[in-house]
Amino acid sequence: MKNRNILEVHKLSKTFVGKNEKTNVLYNISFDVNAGEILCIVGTSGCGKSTLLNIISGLDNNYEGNIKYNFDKEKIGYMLQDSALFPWLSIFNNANLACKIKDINNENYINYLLQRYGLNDFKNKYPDKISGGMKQRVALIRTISFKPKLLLLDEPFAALDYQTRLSISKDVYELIKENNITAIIITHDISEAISLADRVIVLSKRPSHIKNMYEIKLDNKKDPISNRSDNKFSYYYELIGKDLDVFNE
Amino acid sequence: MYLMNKKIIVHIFQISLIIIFVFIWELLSRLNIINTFIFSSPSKIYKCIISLLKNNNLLYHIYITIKETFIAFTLSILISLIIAIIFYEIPILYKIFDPFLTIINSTPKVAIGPLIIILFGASQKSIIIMALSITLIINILSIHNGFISADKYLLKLLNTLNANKKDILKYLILPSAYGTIINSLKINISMTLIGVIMGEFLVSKAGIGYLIIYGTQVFNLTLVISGIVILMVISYLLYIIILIIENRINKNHSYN
Repeated sequence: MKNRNILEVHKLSKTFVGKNEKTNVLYNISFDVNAGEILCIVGTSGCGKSTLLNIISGLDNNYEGNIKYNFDKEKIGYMLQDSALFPWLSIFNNANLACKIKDINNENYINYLLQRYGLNDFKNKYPDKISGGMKQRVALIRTISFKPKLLLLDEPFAALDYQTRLSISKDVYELIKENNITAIIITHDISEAISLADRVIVLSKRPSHIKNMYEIKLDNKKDPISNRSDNKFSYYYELIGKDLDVFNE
Repeated sequence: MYLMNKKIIVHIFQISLIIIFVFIWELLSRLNIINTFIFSSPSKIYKCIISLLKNNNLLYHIYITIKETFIAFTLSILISLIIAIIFYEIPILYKIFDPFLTIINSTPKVAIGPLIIILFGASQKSIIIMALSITLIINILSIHNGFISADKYLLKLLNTLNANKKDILKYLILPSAYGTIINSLKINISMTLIGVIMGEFLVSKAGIGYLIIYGTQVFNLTLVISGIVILMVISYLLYIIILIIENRINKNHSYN
């Protein structure tokens, strides 16, 4: 089962057509995603990372190239940058929304996750009563609740403070590994990518193409927080940093 | 405590203003400074209302006006909600109808009153259609506006979950337009009453509008002003009922 391709992206290009101009965003992008792996895609802002995720998720069907899904496409979970909780739904109903829409009953699992992340006391409250980190955890539970095969995360920690980022990235990592979910995570944070990923794809500036791809082989791979103190962490940081020109800016 | 005191002060001022107004009006009429034939007086109005209650079946007239208002109001909300949903689901339909709706909405409705009577007869039906003509289009436009201003980010999230149109309406569009719909109800209830009275002016055999137009015809201006006073009370009570309904819904679905 391991290493079977769950997703095959082949020669993907995307052009936005405006009134007077065309903007090439993605150009000739090809990569495979292995079952059970965490793939991080890094790139400078505006390089088309989110566009790529929108295309993979099926939200954007206007592109050139091929995408082959070797699983039920209904089983894609997409977590957005902002928690996107519905203010008129209670925390529980927000967490249960994906299952409701997909007509699945996973209430026990949702209750378990709410309990696990200390949200049980808030489950009948509304989103404005909880912190940003808690909101993002509810969004994570909503995305995981229907047990997706492929998880897409679009800068899921970007709106959070540093401490919360670390602790939620650990939660995400644990849930992905526990449930053997394949994940594509988009981030502009190199440390986050190295600490989470099995593989990192570096996208160039627009029109984006794949500049480099790295297998992240840390000496002692554990969780995203411990991984940051691994011996090889700075080695990958330097490589990816050079690809993104971060040291020259 | 401070807020409570402030509220009481506001109420005391409001009631005092009414009492002062009524007192000055009565005083001016008793001193013959104003012409009581035209401006009447509070005591005359009071006597008129009591006499209407005893001899002219005032409660029946109030019942007719409230019944017509209620029917027109309910129809207006239901029809406008359905049309706004159709416009939301089929945006091209909205684009086609938008200029026509704006033109019809800006036409003075009294001008189409005679046409309504010819088309629907001199009956209660015409009165209700008259009231609908005033409220319906503005209602459709404001509810539709509430629908299209729903949060695009939440819409994106629902799309990532492959939500169908029914789910999008249920979880996003209707709840996010809730405030707009409640505001429409508040504005609508008085607009409907205006429409009903206009209709009663034109065709009715009963109702407060009928009493006012009858009073005008026989030059009984005390009856006309009594009708207006009764209308003001009805309008206020209907508004209070909407507020109670709003509070009841807010209590059940509170996320504030």
